[in-house]
Amino acid sequence: MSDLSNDQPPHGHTPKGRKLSAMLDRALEHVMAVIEWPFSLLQRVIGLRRMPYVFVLPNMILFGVFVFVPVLLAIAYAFTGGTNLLIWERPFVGFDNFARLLNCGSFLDPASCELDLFWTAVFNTGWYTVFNSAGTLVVALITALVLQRLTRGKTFFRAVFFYPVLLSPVVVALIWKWFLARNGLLNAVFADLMGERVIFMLEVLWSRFWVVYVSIWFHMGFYTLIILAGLQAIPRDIYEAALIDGTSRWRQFWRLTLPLLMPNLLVVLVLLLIRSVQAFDEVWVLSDGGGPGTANTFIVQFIYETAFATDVRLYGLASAASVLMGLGLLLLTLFQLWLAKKVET
Amino acid sequence: MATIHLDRLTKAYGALKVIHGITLDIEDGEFVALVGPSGCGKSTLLRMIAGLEPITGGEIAFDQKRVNDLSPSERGISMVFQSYALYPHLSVRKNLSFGLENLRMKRPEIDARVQEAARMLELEGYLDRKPKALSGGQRQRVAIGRAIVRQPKVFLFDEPLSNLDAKLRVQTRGEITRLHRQLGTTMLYVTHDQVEAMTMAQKIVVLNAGRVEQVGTPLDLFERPANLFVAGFIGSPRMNLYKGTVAEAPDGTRYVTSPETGRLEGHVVGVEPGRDIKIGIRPSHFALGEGAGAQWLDVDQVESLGHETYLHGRLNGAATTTIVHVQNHLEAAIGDRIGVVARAGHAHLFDSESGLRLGEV
Repeated sequence: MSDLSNDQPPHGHTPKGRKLSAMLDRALEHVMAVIEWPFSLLQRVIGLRRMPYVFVLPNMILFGVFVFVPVLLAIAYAFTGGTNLLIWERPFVGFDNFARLLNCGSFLDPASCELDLFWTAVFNTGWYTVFNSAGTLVVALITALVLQRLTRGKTFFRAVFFYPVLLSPVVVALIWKWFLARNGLLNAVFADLMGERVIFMLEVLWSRFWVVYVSIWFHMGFYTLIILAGLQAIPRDIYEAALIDGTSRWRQFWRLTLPLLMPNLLVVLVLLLIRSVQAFDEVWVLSDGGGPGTANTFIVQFIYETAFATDVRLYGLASAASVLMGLGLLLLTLFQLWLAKKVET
Repeated sequence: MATIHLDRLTKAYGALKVIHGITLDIEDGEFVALVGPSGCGKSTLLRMIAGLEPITGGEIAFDQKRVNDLSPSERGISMVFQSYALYPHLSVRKNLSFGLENLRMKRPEIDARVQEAARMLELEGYLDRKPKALSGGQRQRVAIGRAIVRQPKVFLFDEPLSNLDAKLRVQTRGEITRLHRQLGTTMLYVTHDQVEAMTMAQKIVVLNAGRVEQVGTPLDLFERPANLFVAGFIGSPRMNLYKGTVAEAPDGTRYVTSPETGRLEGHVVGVEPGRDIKIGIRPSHFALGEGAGAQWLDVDQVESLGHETYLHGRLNGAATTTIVHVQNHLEAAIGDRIGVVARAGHAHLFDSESGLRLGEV
């Protein structure tokens, strides 16, 4: 090992860089000297062919503990009942939990379901997903198009639109709550203009509007960046050729920019749909727990409350809801993969 | 079809001037090459004519009509880009028809024009393919096709052959000149390759650092380069240049002399004796011979192409390298000493300071 690092000349452009890289090389040699023997011993025992697995093992363990095992556990819990936390103390109930979740007079009317809150959450998540995804996509696309055209201050505005992404969801929700409160900034303006105050988060339509609005404001910077990258990847001379061809701005956008941007837009759409279905934290804080009433109660909130926030903790029911949501996302993703292939051809 | 007139055209990026007042006339139906080294402003000039680059000063006129403020499409030009600039997501057919659809042309007319262009460029079998599925040469033909279907007044080519391999370049060169004969449209062709310019153009404009060095037919430029820059740029391999002086014989006749060329007799007019000059002799203007006036070439390198031979060496032991072109195969070896004679009337004389042509002997 130590010979190996000596074979490679240090790659530094400046004398200072070369010195640093030589130092790093020496440090690496020492580290290698210490950890080399267990690995060579291991290799002698298990053989060279199995060594790659040893190197990916640490990550696989982390991935397993925090992703695979919880997924399997959730599926297992979904088939159990009772309120005990430990799985071996829970009775097996088969598909009972799923049956309860799906027990509806009509799937179009949450009130006719046994668990009307779940179906309300499904419908709420549905409209939120549609409006949030469409809204964010359009706003991010327009923002990216404008940023792309800017000749000055491009970096500045790119940063301005990206900064909200860096904030914590709870912080974002609290800022907007303050902004929208009865005595908030917006109401001060409203009161002046209309003569009355609107308690935004207590009215169903207003609260839904602001939940989507805040979400768009919060996340659009991230998607703008993805779209901007796509815009910058379109060769400039194509637009020059289009200019010579006498193409109108409008046609340029619909016939050139949009199709060439499609792969990026599809990525954005996939991320948006998945994240919308998973929405919870910022909405929960902003709407004071899904209110008014259940107007902003989403699936994840239902799962959370069923499992952890009520006196009777129905882990099995919550897990079954998670599994259903997971299946829904799976179908959505499969559909998008199919769509992506279709767009490519 | 159109004539093009440039009048004191200038271009500056802020304080940086890149085009310094170019005045140029291009006849209707002429094939003109703009040639010069990288960064001489030839592409910028072409893009200004196309309308893709704003004009800082001066005037561009097509058919005596000022077009400075017209958009590229209003100028009635077509352009072929070095990168082809095809629409990557559209089929060849759509690439060709895209510009015509912008003009709201009737479908049958569009189809007819696309078919005609595809036939001329042998693209009929590829109309439904995407550019990705085409070879470099085919993409180039699509780019040319897209220019043809619009039936423009002027064709502009921006180094269209740079991305092709050597064999394809020669072939496409021929196709473009054939196209020019067929269409008879004014063509403006930018290249850094003087061979392309020499073989294709009826008129060549040599540009250097944003200025026109010389305008003329290929043979004009080859036989009577206006200055040292053109002399060095046109012709391959490049012209041999030597430092020399003008001298006067006791009988009053003037001649030029240099260590490499020896004494070159001839009619030297208007240059006073004692003046320092540059003598330029093209590799092909030396003849093998050991008679009167012969100079001796010490051969350093031999390039044999079978039907012709290039000898690199030093004349009369001088330090400057000389290249001599021999019309057929010559059995020569490094270290040989070979007698050569400069052909009378083919030594170009230039002023050492201004670089301007003085005449020939």
